Amino acid sequence: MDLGAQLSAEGLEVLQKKIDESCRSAQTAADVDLLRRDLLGKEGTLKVLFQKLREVPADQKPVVAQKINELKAQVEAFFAAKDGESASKGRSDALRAQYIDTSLPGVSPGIGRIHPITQVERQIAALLKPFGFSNVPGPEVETEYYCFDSLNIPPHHPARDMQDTFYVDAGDLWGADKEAPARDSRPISGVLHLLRTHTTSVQARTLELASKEAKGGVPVRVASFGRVYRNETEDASHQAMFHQFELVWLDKGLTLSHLMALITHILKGLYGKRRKVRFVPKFYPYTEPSIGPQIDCSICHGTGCGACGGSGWVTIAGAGMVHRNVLTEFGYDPNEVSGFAFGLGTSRLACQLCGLPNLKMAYENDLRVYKALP
Amino acid sequence: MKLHVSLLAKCIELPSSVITELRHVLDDLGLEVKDVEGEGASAVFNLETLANRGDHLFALGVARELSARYLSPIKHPSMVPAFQDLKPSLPVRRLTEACSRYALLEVELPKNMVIRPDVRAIMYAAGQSGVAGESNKPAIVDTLNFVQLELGQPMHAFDREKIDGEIIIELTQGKETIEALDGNSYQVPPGAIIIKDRKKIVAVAGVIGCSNSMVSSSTTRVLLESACFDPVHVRKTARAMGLSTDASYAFERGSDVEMVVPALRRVVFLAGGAGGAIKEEAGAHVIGLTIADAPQKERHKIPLSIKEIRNQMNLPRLSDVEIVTRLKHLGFLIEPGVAEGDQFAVVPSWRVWDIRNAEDIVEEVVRCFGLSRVKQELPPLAYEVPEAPALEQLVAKLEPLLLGQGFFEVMTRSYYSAEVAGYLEKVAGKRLPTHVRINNALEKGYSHLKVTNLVHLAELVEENQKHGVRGSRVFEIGRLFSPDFAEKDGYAFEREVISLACAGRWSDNEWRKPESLEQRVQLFRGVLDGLVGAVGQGVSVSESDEPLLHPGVQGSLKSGRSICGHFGLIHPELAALLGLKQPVLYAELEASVLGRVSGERSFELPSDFPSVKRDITLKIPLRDRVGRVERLISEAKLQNLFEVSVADDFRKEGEEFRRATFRLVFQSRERTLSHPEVDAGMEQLLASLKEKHQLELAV
Repeated sequence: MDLGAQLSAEGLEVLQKKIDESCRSAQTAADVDLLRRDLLGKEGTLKVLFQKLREVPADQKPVVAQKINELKAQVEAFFAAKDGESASKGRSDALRAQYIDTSLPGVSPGIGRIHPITQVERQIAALLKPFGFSNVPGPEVETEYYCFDSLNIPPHHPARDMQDTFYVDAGDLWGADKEAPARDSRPISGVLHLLRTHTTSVQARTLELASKEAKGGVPVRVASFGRVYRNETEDASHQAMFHQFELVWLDKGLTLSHLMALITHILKGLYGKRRKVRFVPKFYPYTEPSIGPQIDCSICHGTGCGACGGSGWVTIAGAGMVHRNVLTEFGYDPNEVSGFAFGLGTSRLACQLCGLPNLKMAYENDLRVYKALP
Repeated sequence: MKLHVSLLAKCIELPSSVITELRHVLDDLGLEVKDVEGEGASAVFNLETLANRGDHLFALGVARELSARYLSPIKHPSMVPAFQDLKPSLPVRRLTEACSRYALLEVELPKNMVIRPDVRAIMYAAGQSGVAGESNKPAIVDTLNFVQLELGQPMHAFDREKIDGEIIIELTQGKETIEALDGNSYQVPPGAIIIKDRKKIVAVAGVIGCSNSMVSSSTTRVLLESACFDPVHVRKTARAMGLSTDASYAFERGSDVEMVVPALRRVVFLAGGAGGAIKEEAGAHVIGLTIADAPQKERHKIPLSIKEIRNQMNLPRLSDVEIVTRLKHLGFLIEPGVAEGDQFAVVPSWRVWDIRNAEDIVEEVVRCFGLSRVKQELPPLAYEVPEAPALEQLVAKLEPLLLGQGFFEVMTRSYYSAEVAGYLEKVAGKRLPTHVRINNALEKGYSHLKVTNLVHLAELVEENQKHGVRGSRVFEIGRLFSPDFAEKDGYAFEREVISLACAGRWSDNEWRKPESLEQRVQLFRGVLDGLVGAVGQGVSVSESDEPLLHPGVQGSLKSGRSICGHFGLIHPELAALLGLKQPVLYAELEASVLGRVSGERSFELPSDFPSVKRDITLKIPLRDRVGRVERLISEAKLQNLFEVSVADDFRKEGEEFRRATFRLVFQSRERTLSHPEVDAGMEQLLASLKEKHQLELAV
C-alpha cells in the first residue's frame, strides 16, 4: 500500500478504508495469504507504519499510535477468523472423505418370534393372573388312572372313545428286572401308560397333591398349558399332537354362575368385547353340570354360514362343575367344597387369532409364515 | 343321529316351523345340529348327541326336551292296547343279569306285508332304507327300525321257523364265531351276551343278529325280540368285534327297560295288528308273548334342593313351581320327603343310566331353562399372586436373548418313526437313551417318543432352507422322553430341555459374504454364552463326547461346575442318513440345571481400586483347546486374579502349535495392587503351567 505521505489521523482513516476493502475482496485462500504478507509481512504495511511512527510529531504520536494499534488488532482478527474458517473446512472435507454408505441394508441376525401358541397361552395366563392361578405343566406320559379312572371315566365308558389314546410300552420302559420308581401315590409298575389325551390329567394330579399337602384345603387354583395327544389320522384340521389349556378352581361356594362369568371374561379378553359368547349343554364325565362355551362365528356373526356349519356359532371350549366323584376320589367333601374346570384347545385358538387357515400350519414351523404373522 | 322333523312333529307340537329357529333350540338343549338336509317338514337334522344321552337318539326323547323347555305336552305314538291273555311263545331262559328284561313276541305276518308309506318315507330320509319308495329290507325289519327312531327301543326279528325250541340269554365263556346277517364272520369275545336256541347262537345281544335265523321277505312267522341289555357288556362286545350298529350305539348309551313291551305294541300297531292303521285282514296276528325279567328295583330318588338350583344359577327368586313343573315334563316324579319341605326327584326309567346325584338334577333344570338364564357373576379376585414356575422364570430370562439373536420359537412333534430311531441308534449305538415306544399309533411315523430334538430341528431348518429362508435359527422349549431320565427330575419319563438349531447364513443380507462354518460356530457359541451367562455365574466350554454330534466340533457348556448342556455340529453320518444338505448346528440345554444355577447366582459390586493387566502368549498343541487352558489359568487360584480372557489365537505357518494369548486382570477389593506382587503371581503361574501341563510361553 502506498504509505508515502506523513502519518496523520486522517491518513490512517483512509488507510483503514483501503485495508477493509482489501479484506472484503480476499475470497480465496491465496488472496488471504497475499493480503497477509502485504499487511503483516516483514515489509508489510503495519511494520512500515510502526517504523514511520517515529517521524510523527510528539503531540500527535499518542493518537496515531493508538490508531495503528487498532488497525493491527483489526487485521489480526481478520486473519484469525480466516484461519479458523479454513481449518474447519479442511476437517470437514477430511471427514467427508471417510465415506460409508449408510443406505446399505443393516447387518443383523433379525428379530425372532415366539410361537403363536405361546402367545395365546400368555394371553390367557395374563387374563387369569388377577384370580391367582398357579401354572402347573404336569407330565405328558401319564397313567390311565390320572387320565381316565380318577376323572370318572371308567373303562368302556363311551367317553374313552372320544379320546383315542396312544399307549406307550411300559414293559420297554422299565424292563423285566427293573422296579419302577413309585413317584406318585399310585404305583407306576403294572399300570398302563399313555400319552395324555387332555390336560385334565393335570387337574387330577393337582387335586391329589392339594388334598395331601393342604389336607383338603381350599382354594385350589391351577392352570395348565401343554401338549396333548390323540391317536388319529392327521389331516389339515386334525393333528395327533396339539396344545390345550385347562384350569381348575376349588373353593367353598363356587357356582355355575362364577364359571360362566370367568369363561366370558377369558373369551372376551381373547376375542374382543364385541364378540358374543353363549353356552350349550355338554357331557364330560369329570364335570357335572357340563357346558360348552361357544363364540359367534367370525365370518357370519351368528347368522350361519359354511364356515360354522350353518349354526352361526363355534364351539371353543369345554367346561363344567367338577364332578362329585372326582372330588370324592381326592378326599374332598362335595357337600363342603365345589369347583369348576375349563379347558380349550390353544392350537386352534392360536390359528383363529393369528389367521392361520388350519391347525396343521401351527406345527409346520414355516419361518416365512411366522415372520409375516401380525 | 338323523332326526326327521316330521317324526318329531308327531311327538310334540314344534315350537317353530322355521328350521333355523328349531335348530337354535336344539343346539341350546345340547343336541348339536351338524347340518340340515332338506327343508320345512321334510327336513332332517344330522345331530351330534351327547355320549351319556341314549334318550336323545330317538324322536320321543327329543320331544321330551322340547316339552320341558316350552312346557308343552308330549304326543305319544299310537300303539295296540296292552297285551293281555296271550299264550306264551317259546320259553326264554335268562341266565345273566346283564339282561334286565327280555320280551319275545311271536307274530304271524301278512303275506306280502307292505310297509306303511309314512314309515317308508321316514326310513328313506333317515338313510335306513335303500331306495326311495321301495324298501330293500323285509317290511317288518323296516318297521322295527322305524320304532327305534320313534321310541328308542332297538329290536330284532328272528324267523320262527329257524329257531329251535327255546331262547337262552347267557354270557359266552370262551371265544365264539358267528356268521352275522351282514354277511360277515365275527369273533365274539368271552363275556358277551349272546342269544341262543337249543343248538346255536342266533344273535349277539344288542349288537347284531346271525344269518342262521334272519328273516327274509318271504318270512311270515317271526319272533320279535325286544330287550334291555347292560350298556357296558354291549359296548365291550361291540368294540371287541370291531362293529358298531344302530342297536349297539343305542344300548351302549342305555336303553329304557319300561319301553321293552310298549315298543312291541307300537310295532304291532304299525304292522296292522289289532287296531292298526292297515286293514285287519292284511295286518299282523300276534300269537304269543314270553317275558323274562329281573326283579325290578325301586327307582332311584334324589333329594331335590331348590336352594342349590337357585344358587348355581344365581337366581334367588327362581320359582320352585316352575322348577318342579319342568322336571315333571322331563319325566321325573316329585315326591315329598319325611321332613316338611323335603322333596325327592324320582328318576325316569330312561335316565337311570346317567342321573345319579343332585348335580345331575341341577343340570337337568339348567338345561330346561337354558344356560342363558344363568346370571353370571365373576368369582372373587385373589389377594396373592403365586410365584411363576421355575421354567417360566427361566424362559423369561432367556427368551429376549434368543429373539434378539433372530431365533424363532418352534413346536415340533414329540415322536418320530422307527426309521429315524434306527438312524439314531446306528450313529449313537448303545449310548443313545432308551426309547419309549408307542404301541398303537395309527401313523407309522409316530412310533417312538423322541430322546433328542436334533432330528426334528435339523429337518425343520433344512425344510425352511428349501423354502428360501437363507438363514434359519430356531429354538424349542419342550420335553424329551426316556426311562433313563427317571432320576433326573420330578417326572418319570420326561425332562424339559431348551433346544436350538441353526443353519445357513447368520446375517440375512444377500450382499454380505456368508460366514464360514467356523464363524457360525463362534456366533452360535456366542448365543449360548449369552444364554448360560444370563442365568449362571460365568460360562466355559469343556470337552464333550455326544454321540450324535461331530466328534471334532462339539463341547459341553458349563456354568461353574454344572454342565448346562452341549452343542456342536450334527454328526456327518446322521446328517447323511437324514439327507441333510447343509451343516446344522445344534444345542440342547437342560432346563433343570439352568434353573438351579440361576438360583445360585450371586452378585458383587465392582472394586473401586485400579486393575493390573498381564498378557501371556502360550504354545498350545494343535489338538488341544484354548478353553481348557483358559480354565486351567482360572482354576490356578492366583491371588487377586479377577478375570481371564482369550485375547488372541493364531498359528504361524510351519509351526506345530498355536499361539494363544490370555489376558489376566488382577484386582483387589481392598487396596491398589503393586506390580511386584502381580509379577510374583505370574511367575508362579507360568512355572505351574510348564511343570504340570507342559505349556510354555511362546517367544
